[in-house]
Amino acid sequence: MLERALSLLGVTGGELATYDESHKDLVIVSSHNLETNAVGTRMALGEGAMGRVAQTKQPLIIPRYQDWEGHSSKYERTTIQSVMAAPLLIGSRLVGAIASVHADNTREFGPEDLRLLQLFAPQAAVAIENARLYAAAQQHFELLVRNNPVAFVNLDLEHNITSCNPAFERLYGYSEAEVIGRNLDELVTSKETLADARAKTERAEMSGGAFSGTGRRCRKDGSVVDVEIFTIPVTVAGERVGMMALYHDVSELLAARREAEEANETKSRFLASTSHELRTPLNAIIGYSEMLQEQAEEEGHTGYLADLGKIHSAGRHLLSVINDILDLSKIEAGKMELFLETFELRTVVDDVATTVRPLVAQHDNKLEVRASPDLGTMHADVTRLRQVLLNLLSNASKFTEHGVITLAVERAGDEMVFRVRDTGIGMSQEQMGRLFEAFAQAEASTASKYGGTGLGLAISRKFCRMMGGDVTVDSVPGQGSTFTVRLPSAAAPAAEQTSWPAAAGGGAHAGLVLVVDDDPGMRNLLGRFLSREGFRVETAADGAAGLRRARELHPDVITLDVLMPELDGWSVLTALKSEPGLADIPVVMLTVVDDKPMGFALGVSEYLTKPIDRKRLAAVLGKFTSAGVGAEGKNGRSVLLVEDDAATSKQLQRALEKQGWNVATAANGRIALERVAERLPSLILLDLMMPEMDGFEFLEELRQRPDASGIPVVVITAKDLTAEDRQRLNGGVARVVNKRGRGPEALLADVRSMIAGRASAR
Amino acid sequence: MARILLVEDNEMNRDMLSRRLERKGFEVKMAVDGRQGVEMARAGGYDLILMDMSLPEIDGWEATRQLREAPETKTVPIIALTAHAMAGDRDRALEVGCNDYDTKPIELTRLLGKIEALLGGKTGT
Repeated sequence: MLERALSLLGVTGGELATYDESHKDLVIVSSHNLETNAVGTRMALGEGAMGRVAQTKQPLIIPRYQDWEGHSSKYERTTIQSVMAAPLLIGSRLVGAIASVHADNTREFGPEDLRLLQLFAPQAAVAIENARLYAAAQQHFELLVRNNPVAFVNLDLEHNITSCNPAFERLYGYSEAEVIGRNLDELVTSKETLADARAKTERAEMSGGAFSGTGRRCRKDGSVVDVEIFTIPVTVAGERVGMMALYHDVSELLAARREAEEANETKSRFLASTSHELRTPLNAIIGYSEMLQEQAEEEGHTGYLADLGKIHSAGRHLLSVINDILDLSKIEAGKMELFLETFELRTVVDDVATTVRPLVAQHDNKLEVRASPDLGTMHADVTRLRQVLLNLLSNASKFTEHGVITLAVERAGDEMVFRVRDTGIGMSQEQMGRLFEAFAQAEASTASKYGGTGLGLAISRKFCRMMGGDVTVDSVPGQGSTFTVRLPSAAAPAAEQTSWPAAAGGGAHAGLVLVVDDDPGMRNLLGRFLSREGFRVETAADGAAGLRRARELHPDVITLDVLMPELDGWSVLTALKSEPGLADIPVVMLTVVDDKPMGFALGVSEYLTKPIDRKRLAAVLGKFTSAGVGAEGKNGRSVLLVEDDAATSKQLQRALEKQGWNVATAANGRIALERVAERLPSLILLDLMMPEMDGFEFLEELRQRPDASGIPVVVITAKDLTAEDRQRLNGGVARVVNKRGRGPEALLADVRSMIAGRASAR
Repeated sequence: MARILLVEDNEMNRDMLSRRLERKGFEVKMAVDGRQGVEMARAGGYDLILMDMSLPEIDGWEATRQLREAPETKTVPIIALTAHAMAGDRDRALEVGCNDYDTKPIELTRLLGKIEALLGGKTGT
């Protein structure tokens, strides 16, 4: 760069310095044709010609350097006659300085020289800056890889290791020197896992995109480690140069999860057995005290009655506490199951009223039940409903004296509304805020005065929500409280909303979308969102349910989560595509794992990665529901697939069939010619490298047939074509598709455009 | 005077319930496990059976099933007693042939109501 500048200026020599931000000085990085080579010398701002221009940020011409007052004592350069220097700036930021020198005293720098230098300076400044940024990025990357706890390994096209980082050395116990040149799959696998490793590498290879999965790999010492694996094909300027593999040790994570699951299991068992152990003696306490009360009353020992009553009620209280804690822990562990049944509501209301009446009467309260005799039936968990109502009524009687407690029940549309109103002490806003939290009574002192665990309301709310409803409170201090329970008159079995109507005013798609996702949050989110967008939505919580629902509903579109327990998204997809009635339903995969090619190969119509971009989702679904799927006729689209590799052939065949193609296959050129003779396809997909008769020979033969010469041929090839190959193919082939690094997706796009082009040409 | 067979393995529960029922005027015989319960019931002479469901040897579910199969006990009213109100217990109890169902700890008035309903006016006293 310096040389170019100097020859441009036609000068003897010169120097280039870069500005060191951290030392606030210049470092000479290049020197040309000067009597002393000063590369590496540091110059303070203001020192010498370059120091001066760096400081002033102005160019400078020094006609007679030896006489110049700023003449640097650092080097005695007697031959230097005149000097021209300029700062290198990006905007106003200093990145370096350049100096040019005449050793010949007959020549001096003039304004034209200065103009030239100033033309060159910005380019030099940018070049220096780029070099610096590149070095910084390089260093950054190096640091990142060297210090990364994730094991990195680089591979060439044959999957031999070209480099690895220290984390890789630590994970597998090999030094970098030991692994260079070794085949990765053979290095880190045992006999059992080699096939798995090869399959993963192959898949990454086929898909051309990043691929992730988990597996077990082998260390140098033979021990086994659970790893999360990412394989990333590396492409530079459109050409595959190798692959990168990342390993993340997840053995500890897996062990921790196993431990946590075991601990949780232990906790559940402990709770179950403890509750049993506590209940058995409690039953005796409650039973015998009750019995003694009866006996004392009958036999006239009335003096004992009060004390026996205390034992009995303390026992009952303890039992209710144990039951509450057990309920709550079951709910929180997700183990509480609803037992839904259809029952006569009026009977339950009367039963609850009868049970609670003695309690209400304790504080001289009156119980009023307001419910029409023909409330009809309700579908819910009757035990839990009874528990909720008893809890609210017993709270009301606890906090009310000489008052009225009302239980009002009415039907409001699809809901049943239960109101428990009291004329008791009421609550402040602040007290109401914490009311439904576990272990949080309105005031700490409340427990001692009124008793109770503070769990009842928390449990009641959870039960209501499990049944698809809720409980709310409204209160005025000193005047009383009203608790309102709203429950769907027919609770859904999953205790969550499983379908959404299309919102009025949303888009006019009106299509039915089936959302299959194991995450209730996701189902809810998609359900709400899509219904707002004008879709009707049904949901399924697992793969099996998804298939069942798909058969029942025949939705316009299915969204499918990839990662689900039991039956994962891919399996569901495969099942969907193999059922005649369901195969045509467009499926949108939702996933955190980017595995597009796999999806398309299996017949996915569209593909979205999580987190979901809502706009895109709506657009994709809209496309399928409004435009009508596969409206362009699928009939008569036949393709002949000529490929010797059975796996590739199978995969492509499936992919094409899912796209509505009639596929004939041939394993070599000779068979392919027979197929063509049997029936003319509308398109031929052709592998070049095949036994018996290769692609080239086949093409030559094909073109001899007048009826077949017009068939478009798409070449699929793993080899890079030579000029000679191209020559041979010229005219005979519509498009060459490179197999390596391109998935079926690209191939399908080619095929589609080919047919479209052909149709319009006719 | 109605005769009740109480099948219950817990000694205290057996003692309490039998004494309380006796004070209400019933004649109560006791069995400590399912096998004994079935034997005694088939020997005859009971107007009603109170059957704990979690029993050693053969449990209450199985004992009830056997009693319903035997001609001599086919129609004897059985009330199932379970320790905790597990969802589904009630239906399961009715399914194996119990006539009614109650949970422990026993609430005597409630249980008496059920007994009287099944005995059809043939009460203890």
